Amino acid sequence: MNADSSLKPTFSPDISAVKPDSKQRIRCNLALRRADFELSVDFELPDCGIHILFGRSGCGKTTLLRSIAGLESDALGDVWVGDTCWQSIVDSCRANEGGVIGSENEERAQKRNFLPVHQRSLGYVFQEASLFPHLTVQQQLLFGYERIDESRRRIHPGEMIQLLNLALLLDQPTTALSGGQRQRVAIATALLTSPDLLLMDEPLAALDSSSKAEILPYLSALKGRFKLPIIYVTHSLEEAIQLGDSLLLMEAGKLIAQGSMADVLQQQNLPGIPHDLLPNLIELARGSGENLARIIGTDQFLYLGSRATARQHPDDGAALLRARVDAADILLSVNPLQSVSCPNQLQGYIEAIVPEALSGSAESVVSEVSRVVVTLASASPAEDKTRLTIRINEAQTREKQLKAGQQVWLLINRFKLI
Amino acid sequence: MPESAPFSATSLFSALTMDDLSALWLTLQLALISTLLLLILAAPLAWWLASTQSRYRVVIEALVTLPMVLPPTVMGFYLLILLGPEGWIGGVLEQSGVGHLAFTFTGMVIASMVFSLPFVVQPMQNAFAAASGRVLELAATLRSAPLDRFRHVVLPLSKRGILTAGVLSFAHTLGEFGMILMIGGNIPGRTQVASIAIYDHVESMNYAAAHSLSLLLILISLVLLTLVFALNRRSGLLSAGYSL
Repeated sequence: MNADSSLKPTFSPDISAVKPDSKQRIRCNLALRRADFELSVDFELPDCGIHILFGRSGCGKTTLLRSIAGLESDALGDVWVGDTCWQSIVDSCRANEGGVIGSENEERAQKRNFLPVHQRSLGYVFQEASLFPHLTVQQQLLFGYERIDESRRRIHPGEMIQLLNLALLLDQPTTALSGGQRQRVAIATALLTSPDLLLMDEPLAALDSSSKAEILPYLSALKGRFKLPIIYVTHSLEEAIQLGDSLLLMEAGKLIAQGSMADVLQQQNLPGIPHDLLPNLIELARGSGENLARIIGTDQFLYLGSRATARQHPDDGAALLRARVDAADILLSVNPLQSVSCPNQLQGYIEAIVPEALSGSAESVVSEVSRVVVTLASASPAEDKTRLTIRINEAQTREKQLKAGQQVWLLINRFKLI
Repeated sequence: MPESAPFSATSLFSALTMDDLSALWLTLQLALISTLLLLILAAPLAWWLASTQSRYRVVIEALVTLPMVLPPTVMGFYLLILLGPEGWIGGVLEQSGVGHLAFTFTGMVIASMVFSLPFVVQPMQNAFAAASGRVLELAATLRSAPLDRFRHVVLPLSKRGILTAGVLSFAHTLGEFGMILMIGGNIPGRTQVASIAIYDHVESMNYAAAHSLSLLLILISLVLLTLVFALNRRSGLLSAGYSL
């Protein structure tokens, strides 16, 4: 019953899915009113990892990101990053918490507690790879770096130039770069201000697919290299799955779901998330050179086979990997199977069986497909549990007499390291 | 006095009097000083016009453009009244012992600045508008404070617009006539500029002197403009492909 409720879409901001033991370092409660649009969000994020701000075009993702940065001066509310208040509504107005923000009085009060953009320790990567047209790449990179206090410089030009492979571009004017190069320079420039929070607004959206492929590995590398919270706006599920640790789902200016990537992907009826594939994410830990990877939250292993060497990266070391398994690529067995060709057989327990919601139809229509949520058997209670969701026909469910608590084996027929 | 063949180098200079040379020198001084002052003073105005959402913007824009459409004599007349011993400004200056500004170099500089204002503000405003928006947001996210942004982003990106404004103002002052005549009073050696000296020569049928001075003005203008276009071309290469 409990598990059942966790699968229902959360239509109010819900932060329960974020690990309760992680420090909540970014707090954001913002409201903004425009003629045809209203933004109203309230969320907290841990101070590391990539948090995907996801939603359909026009849902307010960019506006929210700009508001956090202070680029929308009419956005009212509180923004805290670590111990620093970027903007807040003064105490006298907080009595009205939860009510309407934005009355004239509050607006005046707000003005007193608004850190201008240039005083916020943030990096911002714009969608169209904005660079200064009058500078060379080197001057561009140093623009922000030179403007922060020496004691605050944690990220230095040398390592950024190496990480993003910019050495050959340094003397070129920024106007001479290709789209992918521009975005790499823009990312490096933003990071060289050693920000407390990196905001990225669809950094790949304006690029062609080959430039995208050029940038994505760099973004993954950033995540491993710097302990830096990143809010990453995108409407591409592929990018979200590849990069995201957690996901904030927006719709019409509101936050309608928040949680770890894996959890949100399995919630039903969320707009903008296609459910036909029902992707599962498995977090893996691998010692270097092995082609086995332990599934986080379990003592079970996934055999990587030839994929292991393909993903060998000098920087990875004992790397954390992520695998994507679509529901259709998992088979469920009530017995362990000895004589099958599948090397990946994972043991677990059925946590819940939920009828699949039929989008757009009346409640009375009975769904013919069930979602079976399986928790992988675990010997590491300290880590988060890994759950996999698969689709099974109602008839099959009845025939096999599947029920919650039952021990099952999952055959992973196909997966993709991302 | 030979009325023909004023085109050899010797006759070019022989026809010029000391007054002509000082008129020419005064013209260049006037053009340079008023242009430099105007560039400095018009920059904040142009920036405000380029960035403001104020509803008064259109009114200010109309006021700034006014000297472009009014007859110079109208502007000169009111400036003479304003700066003269009985005027609001001239009167106050007179009483405080500084002296009024009619028929003075300072008065002429002020007149030139008023006259050239639209020619400076408009190219600067356009340049500033083009150099704002996303680049300024980018600079702000890179810890650049407002004045720093203006100096290190807006000004470098507006180089061509500012150069254009300076040239227009300088050239415009070289050719100024009616307004300078009203406020300066055509005192040879003190407030007589080249364009008025040419007019005097023509009035007195001294065509050789008129030729000489005119050709010198043409020459100076041509050299200046060529220099500017050459400079502009080089910076044009740098800012080619500027799109944000």
